[in-house]
Amino acid sequence: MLDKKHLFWASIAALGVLIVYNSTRKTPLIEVTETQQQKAFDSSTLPAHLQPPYRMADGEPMPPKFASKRILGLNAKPRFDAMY
Amino acid sequence: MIYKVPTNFQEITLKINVYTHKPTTIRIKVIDAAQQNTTFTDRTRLIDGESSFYVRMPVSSDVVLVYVYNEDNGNLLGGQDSSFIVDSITTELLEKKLEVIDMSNTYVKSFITFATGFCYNAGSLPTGNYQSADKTFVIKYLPIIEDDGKEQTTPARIDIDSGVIEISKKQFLEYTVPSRMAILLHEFSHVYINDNVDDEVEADLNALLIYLGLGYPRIEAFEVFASAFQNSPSELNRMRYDKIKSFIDNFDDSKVYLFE
Repeated sequence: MLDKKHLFWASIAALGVLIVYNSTRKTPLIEVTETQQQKAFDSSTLPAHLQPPYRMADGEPMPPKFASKRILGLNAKPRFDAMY
Repeated sequence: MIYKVPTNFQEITLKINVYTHKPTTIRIKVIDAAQQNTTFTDRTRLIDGESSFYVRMPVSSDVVLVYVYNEDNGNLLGGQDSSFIVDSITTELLEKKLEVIDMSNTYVKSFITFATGFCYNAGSLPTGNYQSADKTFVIKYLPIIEDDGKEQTTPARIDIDSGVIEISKKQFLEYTVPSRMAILLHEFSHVYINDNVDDEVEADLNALLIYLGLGYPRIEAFEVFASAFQNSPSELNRMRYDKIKSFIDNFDDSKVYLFE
């Protein structure tokens, strides 16, 4: 006979199993050929967090300059590859 | 072999189980099924027996194509290459460490949103100037970066005074989405996070803290820095690579300090 305490822990265990089961999904292996890939791409159908950013019109003014923490001088442009 | 996997634009980790009969270099490439020039990972590993590739994807498309092939034989159809077996492909939860990112900094939050949209779509965006929704950040997406008519080797750079980031489309097309993100976060860090705006190592580590916290793959971070440093070998870049390696190694062991 299960008392309330055992029932509680059994419920917790079942919930844990469900979470693990639902977080791991095995995908059926569907092999395709290269010709099936990359049809016409329409970015308007993307979810909000993946929408492309706004493309400024030609001649549209740039936003006000960011107040840099320190002025290095004209044309200071650190490069990703750090080759000056 | 190419497998079609629905990922539904979700944040996931792809686990690809591969078996080889003898030591074999296996290449894994995960690309967007719909958008050109959009690669989520491209890596190789020597496998002897059973092994799993874990592909962290904080950004994914609706459907991805997973290429798995023997590097020596090239990509062949299933049944034509018996040197390896793809046992299964599973989607798992993505582990993130958002607590290491200072989301109270409005610049950080806004830039992550802006950069994510830019990096995911960079493969199909035309050149031009792109602006964040809050009009704080601007990216000049240029065909190439040049000075005095001469093409520069860097994929990106930032103007310290204006905060405008210049990106070479020619180079960006070759990078994976996570690599693009690492580059943009580095440039952003120079001006908006660093205490010393021209400190490369500080920009590297500030960028990595955000990048790793968002759950982006460690291997892509190594590769993007390594490839940039190979093109520009210097004592500074060698030191940067050592610091980066140490930082990434320690990140998952939670030895990395949080932002103040």
